[in-house]
Amino acid sequence: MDEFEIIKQKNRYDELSASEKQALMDLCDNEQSFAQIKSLMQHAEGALPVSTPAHVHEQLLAVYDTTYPVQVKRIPKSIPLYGYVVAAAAVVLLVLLIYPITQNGSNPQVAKKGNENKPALPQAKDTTDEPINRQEEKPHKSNPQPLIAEVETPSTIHQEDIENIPPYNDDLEKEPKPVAASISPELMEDNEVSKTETAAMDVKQEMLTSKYIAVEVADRKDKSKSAKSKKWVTPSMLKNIRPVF
Amino acid sequence: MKVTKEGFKDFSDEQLMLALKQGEKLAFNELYLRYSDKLYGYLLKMLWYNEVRAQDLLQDVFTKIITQPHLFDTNRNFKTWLYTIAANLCKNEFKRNEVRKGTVNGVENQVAISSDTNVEKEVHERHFRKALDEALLKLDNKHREAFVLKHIDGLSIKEIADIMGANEGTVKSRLFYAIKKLSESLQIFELV
Repeated sequence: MDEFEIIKQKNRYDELSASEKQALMDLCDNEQSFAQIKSLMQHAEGALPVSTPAHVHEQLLAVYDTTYPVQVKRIPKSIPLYGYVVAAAAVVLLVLLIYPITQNGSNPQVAKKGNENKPALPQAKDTTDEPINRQEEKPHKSNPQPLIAEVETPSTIHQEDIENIPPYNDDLEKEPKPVAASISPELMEDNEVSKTETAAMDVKQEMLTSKYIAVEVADRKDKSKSAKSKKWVTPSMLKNIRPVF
Repeated sequence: MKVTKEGFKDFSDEQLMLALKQGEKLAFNELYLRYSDKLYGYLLKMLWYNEVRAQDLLQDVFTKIITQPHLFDTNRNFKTWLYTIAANLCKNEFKRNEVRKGTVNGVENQVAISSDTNVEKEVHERHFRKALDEALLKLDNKHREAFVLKHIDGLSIKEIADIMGANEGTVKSRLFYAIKKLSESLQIFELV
């Protein structure tokens, strides 16, 4: 503690200790001189501040603008605590949004599994004892106009007819097998012309019916699949179909 | 440290200097508001209450801060650096000019005033201050500077030693001398 602090703290010279009096010996050695110095210090420190003229400040600001023509934008010295929290939350949110997308794109098995988890398409009902009704082709929603013309078909096809249908193959579109191979020799001998013709017609009829039914079955199968994979009836197939009344 | 709505009030002097170097005008403004009045009072007392010269030197001090901030050592106390600049400018002024007395109208020292009323107390105070200012002018520059820095501007002996370029013992002896001389000059005042 310097000597002036001692004088400030004590009110009277008599309150000073021996060591303090020794330290202040050059300044004061009695009550009167002690009081005078104390008062002088108080008055000097309590002096009214002097006000600087305003024009000095203005001139200095002009000097500053000249020296620093381009002033930087104020950067906060510190970021408040909640700023860090908000920034961290934003980063976490971005990671949560981006991570699943990147994972699905890089891993195709994940995509497949996703497809597997999709609900199964409704399968065709087992309607062995029920007549199968032809369902009208409904135009696809994205294609308001049907891509193919509706085929005129019989309203009902019985199940027993389908069971008797031989397996459909391309050979059916070719010329049918000779009728004679499927007719017994006895019949041939008795009714050569009419019976042969009738039988041939019957066979032809059966073949056309079976063709028609096969097309119909195929068509039904195709309907259960996606619209894109639908098997369209070709014009050549349409030619072979005759209405049955 | 946050930049509050009031600007850089929470910043230390050294931080303000760093901001000033980066072109922060508000930082300079804050420094000016903190030290302009005290520095002006110091310059007035050092330059014999010549207001024109005191204002010129005040402007010189702050212009140096604006144009040469790199001269400030961040490891050093800003206040002592500021007063050092002002003290050096005053020394240059002393060399250029002869000793001049200010325009302070002194009071007849033979008048002893004492009273119990407030009005007379205020008058007494006013007269005392004027006498003090006059007595300061009679002191040597070094003694006056030491007294003003210590008892008017409130600097520590260590800071004064740094500003004056002297050791603490020398500053103490100058202060002791200044106080003794002033108290003798103001002896006639019955101090309340």
